Amino acid sequence: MDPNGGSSSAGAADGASDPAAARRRHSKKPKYSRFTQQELPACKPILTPGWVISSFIFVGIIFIPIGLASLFASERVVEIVHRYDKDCVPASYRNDMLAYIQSNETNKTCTRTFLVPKQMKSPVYIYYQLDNFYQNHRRYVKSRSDKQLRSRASENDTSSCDPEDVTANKSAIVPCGLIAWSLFNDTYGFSVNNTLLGVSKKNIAWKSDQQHKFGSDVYPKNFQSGGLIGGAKLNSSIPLSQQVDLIVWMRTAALPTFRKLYGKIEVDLEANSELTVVIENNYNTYSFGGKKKLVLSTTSWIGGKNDFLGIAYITLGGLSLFLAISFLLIYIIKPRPLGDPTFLSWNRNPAGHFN
Amino acid sequence: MKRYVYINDDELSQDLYCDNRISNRKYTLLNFLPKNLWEQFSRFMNQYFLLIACLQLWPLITPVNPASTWGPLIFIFAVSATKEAWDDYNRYLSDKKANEKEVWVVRQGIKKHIQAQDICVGNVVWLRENEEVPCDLVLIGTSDPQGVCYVETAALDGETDLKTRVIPSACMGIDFELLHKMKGVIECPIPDRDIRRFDANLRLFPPFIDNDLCPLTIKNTILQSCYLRNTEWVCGVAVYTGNETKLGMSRGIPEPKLTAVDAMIDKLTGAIFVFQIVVVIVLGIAGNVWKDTEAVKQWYVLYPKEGPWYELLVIPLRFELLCSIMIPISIKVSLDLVKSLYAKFIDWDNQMIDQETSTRSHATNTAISEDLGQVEYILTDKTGTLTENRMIFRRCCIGGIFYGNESGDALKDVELLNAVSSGSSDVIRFVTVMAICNTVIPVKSKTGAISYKAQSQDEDALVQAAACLHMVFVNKNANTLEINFNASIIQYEVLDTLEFTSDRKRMSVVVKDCQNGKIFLLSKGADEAIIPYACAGQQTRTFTEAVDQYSQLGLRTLCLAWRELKEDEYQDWSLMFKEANSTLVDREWRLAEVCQRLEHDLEILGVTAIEDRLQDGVPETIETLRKAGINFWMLTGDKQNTAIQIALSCNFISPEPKGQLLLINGKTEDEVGRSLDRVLLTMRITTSEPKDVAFVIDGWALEIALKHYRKVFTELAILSRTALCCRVTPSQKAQLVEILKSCDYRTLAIGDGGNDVRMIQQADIGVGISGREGLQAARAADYSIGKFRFLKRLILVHGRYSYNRTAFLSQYSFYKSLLICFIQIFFSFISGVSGTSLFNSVSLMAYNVFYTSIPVLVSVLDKDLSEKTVMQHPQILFYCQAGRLDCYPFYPPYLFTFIFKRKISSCVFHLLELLLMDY
Repeated sequence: MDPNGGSSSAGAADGASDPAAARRRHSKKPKYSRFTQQELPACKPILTPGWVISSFIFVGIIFIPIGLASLFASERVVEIVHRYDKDCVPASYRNDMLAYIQSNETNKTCTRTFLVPKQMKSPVYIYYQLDNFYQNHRRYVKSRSDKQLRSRASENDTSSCDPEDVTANKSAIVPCGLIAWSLFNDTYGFSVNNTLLGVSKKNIAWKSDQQHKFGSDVYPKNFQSGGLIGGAKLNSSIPLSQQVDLIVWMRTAALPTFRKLYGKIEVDLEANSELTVVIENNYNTYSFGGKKKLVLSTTSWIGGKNDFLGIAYITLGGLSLFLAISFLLIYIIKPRPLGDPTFLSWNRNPAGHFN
Repeated sequence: MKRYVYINDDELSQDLYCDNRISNRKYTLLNFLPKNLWEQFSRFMNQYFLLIACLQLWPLITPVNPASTWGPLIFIFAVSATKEAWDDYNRYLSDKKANEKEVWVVRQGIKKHIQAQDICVGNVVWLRENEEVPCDLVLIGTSDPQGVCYVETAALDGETDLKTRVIPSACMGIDFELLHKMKGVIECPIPDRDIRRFDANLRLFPPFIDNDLCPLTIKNTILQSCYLRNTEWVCGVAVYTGNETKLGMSRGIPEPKLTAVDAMIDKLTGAIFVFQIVVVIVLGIAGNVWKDTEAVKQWYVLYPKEGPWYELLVIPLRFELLCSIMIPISIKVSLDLVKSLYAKFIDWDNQMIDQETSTRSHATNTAISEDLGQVEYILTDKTGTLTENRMIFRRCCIGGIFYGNESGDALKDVELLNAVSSGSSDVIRFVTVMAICNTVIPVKSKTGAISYKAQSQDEDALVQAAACLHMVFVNKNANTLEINFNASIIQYEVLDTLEFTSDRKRMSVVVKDCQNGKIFLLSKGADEAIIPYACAGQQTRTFTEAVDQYSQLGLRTLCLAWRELKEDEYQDWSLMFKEANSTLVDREWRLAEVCQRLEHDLEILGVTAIEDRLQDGVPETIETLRKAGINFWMLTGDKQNTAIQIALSCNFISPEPKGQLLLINGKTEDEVGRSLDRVLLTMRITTSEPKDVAFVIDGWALEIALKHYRKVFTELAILSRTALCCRVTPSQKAQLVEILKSCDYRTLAIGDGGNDVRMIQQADIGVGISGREGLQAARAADYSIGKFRFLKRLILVHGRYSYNRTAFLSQYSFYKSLLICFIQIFFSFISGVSGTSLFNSVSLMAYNVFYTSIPVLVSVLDKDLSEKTVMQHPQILFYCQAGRLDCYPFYPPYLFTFIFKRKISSCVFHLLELLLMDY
């Protein structure tokens, strides 16, 4: 039987006929190297009590201040969250909110007033928050054409935009697809103590999106011209790269509850001042029971209001310290020598076998 | 079925048989692509990946770019195809080299130089000394006047000694000029693979000889790939050519061995596949329900009222694609890669070089290194494996006087040297028998030094020893032997050789002293085959005692005897012998009977004791591996006493108070059955005691046990940690391996000779010792090492590291695939169960290749424990043998354990558990 699976007879015979040659061939030594002998330098830290305890203490000492700082920063952020979807529907329509929002006749304007609890330093960011809205649904998230958005030349590249790809007479919709079609169209106007506040839309979209993903020569065309109107309409004289609301909207959210940036208020809001918001409540979240919320928030160095990070740091740090102390106590009260062979399984279990 | 070969007939047999083209190739240029693809797609995993890749071409359901599956798939296929192509190309090159070798062949009566591949059946081929035989030939002429030639058959059976081949009697004495013109017919069987049998007839056509049938045996042939030695030239008729030669027929691709880890990976893949189907079904249903109840309310998704007919399938198929990464596509390629690295580490290891012969260890089979770490049974040969197979003459007992008992080396015993120089007749005769009662061929090198080519190591040892005692066997010229004794040349004529057979257990020669014309019978053999035939009145007690004493020491004993023959007695017997020699039916039996008639009334000269030393480090190696929980079985062709002695001396079994030997013997079915039951009973009782119990069985009893009491014997095999099997045949060795394998044990067979090849191929892992019995075992084996003691390092270091690394790598591959898959599944719950991928194609690919594959491959250089620690505490190997039980209970290896225990259902359960643990 030829073990090599068929090296020819000649090859096999050569090796055997001349054992000296075979030996010479076998002993063709690769130069000694630490790699070939599996002797590469390596470190294998042994988890001695000293090491473990000190690293736990170290983690605790580092993490707890970080957590406290984060928590403190988060506390300083002032955030106003105001849900308006229900309150903006007149009482007579409360039983059939869908009819209210779908009707063209009803008055969608709604004025809400609330107090600013603490002073809010500018810039104050305005967000809208949607609940139970699946921007990540596969059918939705795939329904866009990045090529079309980028340049005018691929205007007719709408194959991926189904079902909002072309109008009834087969001309391409720009921007095509369900995402653009369902653009959020509630608007907000703000005033404090009866003075109107300006809402700045500057820099609310990503710079890279504006510069690279949305073309400056692409203008909306045939948009929202079909029988079924989805969301907001676009001014067809402004190129897509300047349509910041669209750009923000088209960065689809990964989760069904999300906030998107609406604009910025560039003045400070004093504490206890009365803020009035005039909302154009156009967007339909009533059919699927989604909530709409208006969010005003300042920022700090950790971003918006977020207690989680601080709590997580403090918990971990605290846990480490706790472990360090308990290990230390165990070590002091009941020490045992390192590398005690009586603890090896075969020394504990005279039969030797596990199975 | 017969084949008729017409000698020197260019027309007749030209097209009937294949030409002498050797082909080991698996593919041709044309069929490479289809055949290779077909082979690759016959694997389940590849079919699965192809299905997934095809489904991804449908944009409606693919979550990611199809390139992210097609890319790796094509890459993996290209890698394995390239490997196959490269191997095949190398085979083609070596075939070509053999095929295009130039040989002298007679064509149309003229000697021509042609390529080996053009030899046809019936051609007369001429070969010169040291040339390789291109095809199977029947000899018709040699340069030797007696019609003898010598061949080396190492490539065929691994035996490195020279074998004698003779031309058939019908061709004897034909002038070499006439050989060109010879005509005749050879009737031979159709090609087979038996290299020890060739039952054919030769009939020469006039004018050469009267139309007589001349029988041919394997002795009249020289087979492909042998080498011609010590003979100036030979010529022969090609009877089998190309792939139909004995070697070509026995060539076969051995079945690839599958390691335990591989099998586990396959099972795990199957389990994950089932799990995946379940996930797909559950999520598919959930997705369709969500679509029908919720998605219709989500106006912005704009679901059409009426979908196409396949609408129900879309979401399940999306999930199928999303979950397809659960089964890692890269696992096979990465495992192949690291396995070849393990093999390289074995090849490179400087601590496994045999310094004496500077042979390195070599891993022929690169795919099964991790199995080394899971070995549970080692079946080992004795001679040449545990021992050095270097026979050294140590002691002797001549005429009742013991030599070498004090110093342990008879050749240094002054008394013996004195006895030789003083010409004590007993001693002289003893040494003469040592020197000439054999089939050894002395070969004189150019410098004048004499080396011996012997078929058995024992004969070699005796001749060497005789040479040390000034009885130098210098020359063998046809039938004349020359002995150089104290500077005078003594010539003997060999009249007959009564060959050794394993039934007779002795061999004899009849020689004639050329000086005084006296005829002697010289015999040597096992004690039981010689002592009973001592002449009446001779005291044999001292010899029996000597034999006992020597075998107690683990020495191999031979009795030497002689008898002077009367001229007429010899003549009578010689006729009978010639007649028996030429019978066609029951030749061996007839010969034995005739030999018996001469071998009686022997005068016993003495007993020789030959030592076969244990190799260095054998007891330590066995002890260490024992501690690692490995059970040892010794399978040897040697006799029981010697086997037990060797076993004792190498820690194989413990001496009496601590150990216990249970003998299984008997000649009949009943006896063996009773014996087995008794041993089994004792074995059951003693398993609870800390006692080393071993059973001993001989070939005969084993034969019966395997035939009639297979179940009982299997039970015994499971209970017993040690066993000694003596006098076993190669096929019995293989059967024993089979029994252990059938009980689901990982077996390792280690041996050095041709008789171990079957067991080596049968076992999960075959290890060959590239020793003195040739390279045959080493070539058939998966690993070849120079010395037995390297086994320790091979198993504890290489096997264990390989196992740990492979286990880590495969577990990790599944872990990381499951991890990312579970993220996708969780994401599907918050994305409307619509089958959205959280990651884009590039990230997915980067995750699979750059983040989790390539960096993790580096972990195969990791050592969890230092080599020294493992060697000191071989018990660490338990973890590997148990399949990493207890090791990391809260980690994916747990899955392996469960698969290992064949509980796939609970494995799925644990997958779910794992899923919960990850988040």
